[in-house]
Amino acid sequence: MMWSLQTAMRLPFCLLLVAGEVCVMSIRVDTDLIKTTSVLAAFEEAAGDVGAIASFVGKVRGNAQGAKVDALILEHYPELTEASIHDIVGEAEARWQLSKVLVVHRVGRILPTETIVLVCAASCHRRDAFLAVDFIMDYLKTKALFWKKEQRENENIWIEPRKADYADAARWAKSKKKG
Amino acid sequence: MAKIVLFGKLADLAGKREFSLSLPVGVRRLPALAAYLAVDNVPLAAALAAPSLRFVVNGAVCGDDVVITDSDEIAFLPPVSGG
Repeated sequence: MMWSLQTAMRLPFCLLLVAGEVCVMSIRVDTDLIKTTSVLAAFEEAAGDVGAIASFVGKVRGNAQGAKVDALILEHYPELTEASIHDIVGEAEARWQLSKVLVVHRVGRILPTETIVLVCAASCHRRDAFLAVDFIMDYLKTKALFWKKEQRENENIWIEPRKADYADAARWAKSKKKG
Repeated sequence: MAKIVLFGKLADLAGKREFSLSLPVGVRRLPALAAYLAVDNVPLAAALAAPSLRFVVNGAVCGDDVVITDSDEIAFLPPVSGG
């Protein structure tokens, strides 16, 4: 997946026109607390007349392998991170029929129970919406430009994807693109 | 001077995240820069030698054969983890 400043989207949203279908994608990366319920409600309203909306909410857990987690620190590379997410969403749009996609990813210091990431997809039918959200999350975990550090009681640990995360991402390699 | 940016664990290992540097004579490619940055720092050297490491020069991912100069922004990216 190639990305660079030249492909970075400077607007918070863009339209993808593929074979006469329009998908509105919105990407937000910032330190603001994600008010999950409000964001989901706004997405539903903006999605309009659609048959299906699927979403995923990723949150900070207060416990990791029995150790108390004080906070998660998310680091990013401004503009390139947004470009990497844009490429991921673009790939989802190429594979499934989507009318609207939203990715909100928080950076900075995030506390237990707070939302790290929110992904929503709207489509005519549920299968495309489900698959798009699943795909985007697998790729956000393994390809998007973020670095995650867990602040625990006695140590700080840089988190890397698990083998299962890589396996999850790899299963999309054989998926067919929409005709 | 070149602008160097280290992400993730690399910054912790180096003790700094973002800094300016006049590239030493002879340091014209990324592996040489990595070796220079990791002098006397074995953990950093190991992290910069990892196959998963990526280089970004002036906002574009590139291979290790790119020629670098003092007018470049050079970033070293360890394995990512988002979501």
